[in-house]
Parts: sequence; structure tokens; C-alpha cells
Amino acid sequence: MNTHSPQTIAQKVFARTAGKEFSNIGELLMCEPDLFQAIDLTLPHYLQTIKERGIYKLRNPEKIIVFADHEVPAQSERVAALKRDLRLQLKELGISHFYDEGRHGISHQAIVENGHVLPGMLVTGNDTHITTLGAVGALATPIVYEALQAFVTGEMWFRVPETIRINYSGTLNEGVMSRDISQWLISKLGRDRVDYRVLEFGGTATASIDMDFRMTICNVAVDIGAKAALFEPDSVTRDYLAARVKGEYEIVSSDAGASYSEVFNEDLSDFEPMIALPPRPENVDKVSAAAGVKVDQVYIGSCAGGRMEDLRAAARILEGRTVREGVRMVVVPTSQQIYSAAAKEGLLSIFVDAGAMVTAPSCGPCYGSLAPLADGEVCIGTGTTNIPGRMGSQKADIYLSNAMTASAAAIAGEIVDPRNYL
Amino acid sequence: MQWRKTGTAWVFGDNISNDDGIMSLKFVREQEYRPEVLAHHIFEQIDPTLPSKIKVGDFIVAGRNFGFGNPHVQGFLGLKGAGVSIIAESVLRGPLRTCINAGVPILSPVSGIRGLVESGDELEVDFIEGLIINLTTQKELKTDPIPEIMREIVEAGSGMDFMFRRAGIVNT
Repeated sequence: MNTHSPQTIAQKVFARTAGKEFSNIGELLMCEPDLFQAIDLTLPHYLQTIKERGIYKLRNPEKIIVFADHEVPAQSERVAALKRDLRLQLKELGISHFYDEGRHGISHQAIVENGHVLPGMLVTGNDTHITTLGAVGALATPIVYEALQAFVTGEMWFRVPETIRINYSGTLNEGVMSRDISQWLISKLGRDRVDYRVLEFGGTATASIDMDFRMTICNVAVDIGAKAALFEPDSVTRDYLAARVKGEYEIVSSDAGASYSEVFNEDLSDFEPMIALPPRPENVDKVSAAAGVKVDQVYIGSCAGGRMEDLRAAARILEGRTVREGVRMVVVPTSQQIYSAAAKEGLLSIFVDAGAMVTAPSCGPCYGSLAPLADGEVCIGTGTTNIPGRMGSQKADIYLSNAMTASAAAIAGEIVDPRNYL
Repeated sequence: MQWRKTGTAWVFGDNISNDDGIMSLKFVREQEYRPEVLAHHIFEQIDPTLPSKIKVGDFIVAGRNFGFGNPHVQGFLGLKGAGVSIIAESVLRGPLRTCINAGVPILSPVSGIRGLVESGDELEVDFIEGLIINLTTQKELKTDPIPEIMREIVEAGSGMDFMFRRAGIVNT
């Protein structure tokens, strides 16, 4: 018989990984995460640091999954040397899960599509948008510098968070995408409300919400300080994992009567295309608020917006049209698997024929290393965030939108309502 | 480690940012990690005389959202080098983790702390009891104690020291 109150998914995940039956909101627990996600940009420095402290062994090297993602392929000899050294470091430490260049993708996408992440897992790592993994019902939370300690010891302390529940109903209107729902959400909820809390998504609409959509929603939540974001696992989750995971796994759901700090009910048909104005991702308005702003660069990509959902939407706008002279358009599929799928569907030739550039999967423009913006330039795109300096110059303006709005701007040379191009 | 401390309070407002508030972003770009160097630069963009006035054992009494923004470690390493403790109305998740990981004693959230204290007041703070006494005004405030794991990390010197010591116990 249950002697404790009903638990949220978050409470259950933290309890299990701390070796407990249940957990109380607010308590601090020492947990053993199920997976650790690492990236080739920062891992070499981490591994060098621990070596300097005399540590040559990790507790659970098999739980660490490493991805080439921030600069692929290398654009300098310095980075090439880092990557060369990393391959040796990984061998020395017995880390065998390494998605090296050519088999790679942005970590938050590739770790899910390669079947490492299961419902109810606790996953942590140093790259912030790890919350994306909540799309399959895992609790994934960033720990920045402390990742080094977690990689070594297999442990990390966490506070059991409160959960905000968001229920979706209805269906999307034409021209509206997951990115509009997610940007509007962070704008509505705000930092004070979301800090240290988990966002849990469910509702009647989820049966028709695919994994691309879920990943975008979970991705963007971290930009207002959410500890994690996750979709309650369902048949869509099972279908997605069926092709990727061997063996059985348990579905972890929140108990009936679990305690939520707040509950929101949203109808997807209430939304229209949104835009995040500089300089913050929660600075969200309708696209009309930025209509007429001239753009220099258009970007489709990142862990927030370079999946099939985004590439198909961009191709739908661009097919038979051309990118306006003077505008650069860069398309970066989020992973090699997505790149391949887009090629098979014929999407890549639509981009190239329209005058866009398609490059290998990487964080690239959203990390400022590829196609950086110059002083005074304006970019609209599907990157993760629009804080100054994110894509090069501190004096460039970044607008965030769905892939259709960004693509329509590439044709018009200025920000326009994408519904005029459908 | 002494968890009942006395010292002078330095009171700050809401929304003191980490970068260019607690510490100039310049030291992030320069990759400066030495607490004893960073200690000479805490809050200098708010008031350049503060680094020389704030003494070991003093308390930083902060408002809401202390240290917000990118949770770079340099600001909190500077506070560690200065030997101060923090009592805040609120601190977001990222900077709170960075603060503890750097080994800086903190009580947060402490609702109503700024109503109790003015800059220059002498405080006596018991982190384990969760008791703050303003010795200047003789007013008291009860709050939640510092959680055990955070206490152990601060006692160990830093998150890395704590976790690695623990890992020795669990047979790494």
C-alpha cells in the first residue's frame, strides 16, 4: 500500500536514482544519473583537468555518450588538434560511445535518435539545451561546470523540483509550428515562475504531436531557467522508440493526484506565427510586430530547429522560389540521420536550387563559429537564442521564428507573415 | 568549519547580475580562476571602493535574483577569495549551483532579509540553525538552514573536492 503522496515523474526519477522509494519536493538528494552527455568542444579540457588532479579512471565510462557537434568539421588547426587528442583521451578512459564526425549530430538530437534515452531516465551534462531529451519522457537537466565531477564520480546532487503541468488540446493552424508554441510558452511563463521547476507536457493533442515537435518544445524551456522539460510518455513515444531501442523499458508517468505548482490548459488552434525580438528569447510577439525589418542572413538549424519538421516547412516555402539577392541563407540539418532523410526526400535540392547553402550538421551558426554576423547585420532563424553575440557580433540583431517565417524572409528580404507564402 | 559567523553586512538591491555585476566579464574572457586575484575585483563596477572595504567574514545581503545571467564561476570565486558569505532574497538555479560549487556559504531564499538589515549592521548568522540576528538592531529572522549536501560541499572547499573525496569512498 502506498504510504506516500502521489508523485510526479520528476519526483519518481530523482527518488529512483537516489535509491529511494519516493522523494519530497524541495529535498536535496545525491543521485546516480543513468546517462551523461558530453561534447567534443568542452570534454578535452575536462579530461585534462582531472588528469592534472591524478584521476585516470571514471566510475561509469559506459554511461558517458560523447558527440562531435559544436564545430564539425574542424575549422582551425587548434580545433583539429583538440579533436585528435580527444580520441586518445576517450580510449585511455574507456569511453566507447563516441559519435565522431560523420556519424554525429547535435548531441541533444543524436543521443535520442540513436536510442540511448528512455522514459524515466535521469540524464545530465554540461550543454544547456539537454532539456530536449525530455521529448521521450526522460528528465534531462544541465549542470554546466559540475559535469566534470559527475563524469568522474557517476553522481550528482539535485534538489527535487516542483512541476508545472501544461496540457495541450486542439490542432495547429496553417503556418503555425512547434516553435511558435514554445516561444509563446516561455514568454507567458517567464523566469521567476519557471526557475528550478520542471515543465511537464500532456493533454489530448499529444497523440498528434510527433517527436520533432516535442523536442523543440523541451529545448526552448531551458532558456527561461527550467530545470527540465518533458512529455509524459505515450504511444507516440513507444512508436518512436520501437525502431531505436532493443529490449524492454518501463513507462514512467505521474500519479493521479500528483502535486503541480501550476496547471495550464492550452488550445493549439489559438496560436499564430510568433517571433522573438532581440535581445531575449522570451521577448515574443506576433510576426507582424517585426514586419518589414530587412534581413541579411536566414538560418535554419540548431538543436531547436533543424529537424525534418523544420526542413520540410522551409522547403515548402522555398520550392520554386529564390532567395532574394543580398540575403544569405544557411541550412544546417541537426544530425547526419536528418541530413540523409532530407536528401532522400529531395529537400536539399530545393534549398540549393533556391540559392540557399546547405552545410554539414553542427551547432555552427548558433554557436557563432559558422556564418557569423557582422556589426549591424540582422538574422532571422531557428537558432536557440537571440542574446547579443550569440551568432557573432554583439552589435547584430537576431530574430527567432519558425522555419516558415524565416524562409519567407529569405525570399522577401524582410520579415513577413509566412502565411502569404503558403 | 565554523557555521555560526559574525560580521558586517553589505546590502545590495535586486537583480545584481553575475557578469559585470559581481565580477567584470573581462575576467571570464581572460580565464582567470584564482580566488585571491578575483577577490580584488568583486562588485567594482557597482562601486570601485567595495573590494577594499569588504572584509573576510562579512556578509553580502542581496535582493531578489542575485547573480543572474550566465553562471560563470569567476564572480563566485571572487566572493570565495574575499572570504564572505551570502544571504539572499533569491538566487536562480544556475548561479546557486555555481556558488555552492565554488565553496561559498549561502542562505537562499531568505524572504524579508533586506527589511532586517542595513549596510554596516553587525550580523550573527547560524547557518545550521537557520537563524539571523542583527546585533546592531537586536532583530532576529528564522529561515531554512543550509541543506546538508551544500554544507558538506562548502566544508570540503569546493564541489570538486567534495565529489572526488566521496568518490574515493564509493570505490572509483
